[in-house]
Amino acid sequence: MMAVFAFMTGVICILMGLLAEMITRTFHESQNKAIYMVRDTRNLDGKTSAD
Amino acid sequence: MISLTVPVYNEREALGPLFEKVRAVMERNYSDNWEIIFVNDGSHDGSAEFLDSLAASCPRVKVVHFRRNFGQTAAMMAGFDFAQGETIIPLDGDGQNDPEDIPRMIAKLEEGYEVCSGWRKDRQDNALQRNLPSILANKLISAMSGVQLHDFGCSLKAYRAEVIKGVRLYGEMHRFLPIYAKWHGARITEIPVSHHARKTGHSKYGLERVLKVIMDLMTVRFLDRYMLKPMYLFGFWGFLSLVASLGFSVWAVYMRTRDTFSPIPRFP
Repeated sequence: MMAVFAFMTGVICILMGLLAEMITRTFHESQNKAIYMVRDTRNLDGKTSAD
Repeated sequence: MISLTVPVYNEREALGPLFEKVRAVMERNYSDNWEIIFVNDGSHDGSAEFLDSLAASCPRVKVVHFRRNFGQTAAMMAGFDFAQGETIIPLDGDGQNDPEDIPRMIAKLEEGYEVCSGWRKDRQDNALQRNLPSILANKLISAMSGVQLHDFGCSLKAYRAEVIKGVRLYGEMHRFLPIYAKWHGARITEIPVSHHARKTGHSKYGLERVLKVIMDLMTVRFLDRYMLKPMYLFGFWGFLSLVASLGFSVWAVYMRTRDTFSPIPRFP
């Protein structure tokens, strides 16, 4: 009983993890947001990551 | 143009020799048709000042400073985003890769491949802690992803910009970059590269990666197979659960009622 319950919990948690991965991708890609923040650049004047 | 991208996190001592070696190789083979982008991932050991002085002395050196430490994947992404060349080659900031291998990789790209991966055949790291898990991980990744490579962890790889520019990496997915490239229809090959023991600084990786690699691998496999039809995966487990529940219901009803129909009482 507990074995089956724990197994299904594991499966559900992993599936939820996969859904969460989809959501983070939707979050970042829908607003074209980078996963880093730039303080300063050298020899890259005026260029941004979007170029 | 060839763009080298180097994620840097507290590699103050390794940077000078690395840059000199890279410059020697690149100027001999490609004169001035190259750039090197250092992505300073929030170092706090003076790497930032050193990179600024390098950039001041050589216009081919580009530097991106992050606001804080965002991790190797973010640093590699930034390198790809800022790169302007049609060939992009990520390098490790610790000087364990040998820039002498770069021309051979570019030759492979010119043969028509779009990704050329480095394979640290003769690896100079702690055997039990780094190499063994790495071999297992590479076998597992190859089997699960269908991309046959010996060394996913080696950052020294050469990419055509078109297979890498649109890629967005999250978490610690830089290991799986060849798999993303494969989705873009890239032809992939690999060559053995030399590998030096770490001279300065210390490794920022340990053994806890193994579980992370397994989870990342599941994510990659999910994204590859089910991103456009997630119902197939979730629905499969749903139906499995429904069938199991139906089976258990029938069993429970049977257990509850079997005495009623039985001609001989089971419990006298």
